[in-house]
Amino acid sequence: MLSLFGTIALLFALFFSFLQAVLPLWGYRRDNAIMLAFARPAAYGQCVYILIAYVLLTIAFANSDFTITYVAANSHPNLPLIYRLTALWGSHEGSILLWILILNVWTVTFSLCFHLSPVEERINIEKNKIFFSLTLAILGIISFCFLSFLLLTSNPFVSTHELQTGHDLNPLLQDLGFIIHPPMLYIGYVGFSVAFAITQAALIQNNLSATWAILSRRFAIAAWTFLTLGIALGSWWAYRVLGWGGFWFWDPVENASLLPWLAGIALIHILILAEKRDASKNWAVLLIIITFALSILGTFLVRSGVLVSVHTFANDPTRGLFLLVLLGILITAAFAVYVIRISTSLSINQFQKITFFSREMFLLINGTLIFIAMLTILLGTLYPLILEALHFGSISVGAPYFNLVMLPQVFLIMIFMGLVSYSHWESSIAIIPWRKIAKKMLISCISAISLLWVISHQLDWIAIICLSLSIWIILNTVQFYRIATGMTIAHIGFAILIIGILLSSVLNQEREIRLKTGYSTNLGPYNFYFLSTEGIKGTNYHGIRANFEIRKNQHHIAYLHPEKRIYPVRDMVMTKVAIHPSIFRDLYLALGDPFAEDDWSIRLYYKPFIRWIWLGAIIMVIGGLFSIWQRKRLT
Amino acid sequence: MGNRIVSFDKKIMNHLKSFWYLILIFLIYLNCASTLFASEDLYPFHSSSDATRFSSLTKEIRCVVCQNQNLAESNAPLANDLRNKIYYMVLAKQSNSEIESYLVKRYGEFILLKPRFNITTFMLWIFPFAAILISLYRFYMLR
Amino acid sequence: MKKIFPFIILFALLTLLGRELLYANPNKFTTSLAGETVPNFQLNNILSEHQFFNHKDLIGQISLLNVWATWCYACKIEMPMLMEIKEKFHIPIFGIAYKDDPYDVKMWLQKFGDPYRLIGDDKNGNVAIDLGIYGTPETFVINAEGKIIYRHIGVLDRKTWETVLYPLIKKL
Repeated sequence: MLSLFGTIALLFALFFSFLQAVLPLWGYRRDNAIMLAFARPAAYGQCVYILIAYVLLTIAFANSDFTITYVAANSHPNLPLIYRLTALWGSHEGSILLWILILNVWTVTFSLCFHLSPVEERINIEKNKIFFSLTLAILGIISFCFLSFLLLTSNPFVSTHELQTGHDLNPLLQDLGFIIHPPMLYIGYVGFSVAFAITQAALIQNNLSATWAILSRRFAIAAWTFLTLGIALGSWWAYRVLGWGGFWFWDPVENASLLPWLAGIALIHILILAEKRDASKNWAVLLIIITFALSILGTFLVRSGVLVSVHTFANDPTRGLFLLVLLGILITAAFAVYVIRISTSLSINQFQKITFFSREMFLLINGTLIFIAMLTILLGTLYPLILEALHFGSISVGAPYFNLVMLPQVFLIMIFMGLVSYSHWESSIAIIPWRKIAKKMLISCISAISLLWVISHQLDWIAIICLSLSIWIILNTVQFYRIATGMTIAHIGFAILIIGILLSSVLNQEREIRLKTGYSTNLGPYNFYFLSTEGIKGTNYHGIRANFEIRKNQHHIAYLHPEKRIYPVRDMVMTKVAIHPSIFRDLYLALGDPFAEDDWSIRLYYKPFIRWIWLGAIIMVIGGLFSIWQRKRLT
Repeated sequence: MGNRIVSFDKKIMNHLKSFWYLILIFLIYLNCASTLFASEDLYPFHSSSDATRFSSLTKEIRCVVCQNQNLAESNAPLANDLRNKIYYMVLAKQSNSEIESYLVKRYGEFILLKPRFNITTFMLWIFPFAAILISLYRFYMLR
Repeated sequence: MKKIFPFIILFALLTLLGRELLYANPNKFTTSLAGETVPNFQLNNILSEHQFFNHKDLIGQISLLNVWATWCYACKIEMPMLMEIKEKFHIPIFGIAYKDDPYDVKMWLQKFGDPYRLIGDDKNGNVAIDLGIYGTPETFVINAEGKIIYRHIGVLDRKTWETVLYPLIKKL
């Protein structure tokens, strides 16, 4: 019953998305205002039905309705309620439904925002109305594509008459961090679709004005902010759950989320140029299309099984093919519009001369460097596929490669992030203030070296360079706090993020050791006493808990309780890590394999500054939010 | 006279006894003390450079029966075996390239997470640096 | 040129991904040991402690080297085929018991039959790694000079024998 209603709701949504896509475009062609006006109601109609479908599926999960195959495959009667509800996006079909829901919510948000903060509305009401409808039409096309994909290949409401017991949710995914991570990511990916739609509409109308730039930029920043949050949550979850203290693995699916993140940053900065100086629109449009393409490519890579990854959903070539065709059609159309307009609206107002050491030049450098970083990661991720396709055998391109290659690029970008504060708009400075620059550089280096010495008594080249550059950025950016609060906060957040990443990698200590109850071991200045073990039982698992006491210089620091759990339904063994967090260091404890009930192999990690990674990410998110708010004030 | 000799013998015996008791206590203490910290590093090395080498090698070799993990971060039985093999090879002072060649011969280039630089991976390694240099050069030419 | 460039990149990308999707076979494990002599090894015979099984035993006839274990479910499935290869096709099969227990091996052979001429006891799995094993079962085709000709990963079923291994052996 429920599955039938669900499918019907989806069909209605498909119908409305079709109207939303076709009517305005046709209306534009025929100059028919009524057809154009259909865009908004169609969008709202679609949203309503998607919401219905989503709520129905949620109810199915809440009631453990195992007549629906998807529910049976991802849930279990013993699964706690919160995980039952969020298991909805635990696998392919449900996650696509979530994607479409988020697309609809973004569409409605755009619709409301557009009417709440008019920029040129007084000037040209008619044109803006058309612009609005065209944007909705493009969003409708995207939605139609995904809804067809859902209904044709991945309907979550498929039901079965066989008796099914639940297969339970993968225990690795039964975690609060996991719950929020995919929705945040999707909000980010889908947000770029809005910027994409806005751009396509503007291209169709042949009008790339400041309105377009401001609007696109605002949605791009909003999307990027959520994407940052999603990626940070994923990384934080991996750190706490996977058991080896890693937070980023350069896994293809992780890279798939990093690519639009980087392209988005380049986009945000180039759009400043487009808005303030009416320039580089060419590149801005290209970047928007690329960012959008990357976000769909990410979806493809995760679901197709083309890349070897820990994240991949179940492999199904038909689905992969469908997504690929979708991607092809959408991007080809986008490029076609771009190419047609390249000779008209995009070619005017390209400023011929970029003066050296101007703000414009730095924005362009930033855009270029970040774009190259994105391309590097893209190349590394796809390279094994390319070689295989050319029959050159199969190789791996993994974390060691990416770490090695990205480091100099990140350092270079950080240098320019600091230098930009010495530049000005529209000017070629006759004398570049090298003295001032050198002085600040020196101050940064010296403070970095002294701080490192005081905190860790270790001096490592990479740590010194990294800390100097971060201080360099912070010193040079604080002056902009009044003028551009969002940017200041975001840049400082980035500096803190880099400190967290590099210092925790370079200064960390680890130990893999075999320990019996009653004995202890050391890591750095910390003593780990293995007190006891005990059996434990949860709602859908049982296992063993180990009790440790940590001391430093005979002072008690904490008790830690790492566990080893067995989830019988999925027949999986899971390690539950114990962490003692602190702003300057984490102590991380994981159980390895048992030699006897009280004799275990243990992994100990001392990770300095690792919390700064997620602290930096949150600060960047706050910066992004400030940016959006500020924009509102200015307009 | 006889008594003095006897008592002298007795003294020596007493000394010897206490001596043995002391030895016994010392041995017991040694045993306890060493087992009190009887935690063994799973992969003990005498030189720290070997330990570092082992640590970085296990992070650069793929666990071939896992989806996408390195040897250091995998519990799979084959990963354990490969770690042990690398452990003994490092103890035997074999160089990194010897160890890598050994593994590549048996498992293919796929097992190396850091691709070796050769004609097929040329583009991969050169691209990042070349792209940066070329673009920086073009910006520099703006002067 | 500027106009066509984006399309070219897009097309190349889609072609690459499409091809991988449709034609890529799941991780064809290669071994460059193919053509090489079997690495030197010396193992105890698992059935009688004072006998040995070493690489020299593989020289002088075409044979199969089968790496297996009693705790491996798939190895059970290929036992009938191995027995048939021994009795009907008269190809000698040498076994390497991977991290196994001699008693369990004896019980297993009593239950399923013994297709092996010799079985080496690879207690710690070192010889298996020397051969580049991913897991069990795996079977190597060894020629008369003791060189590895082919490696088959997984259960040795009838189809594999008839279409791949036996023709290969006949050619030698």
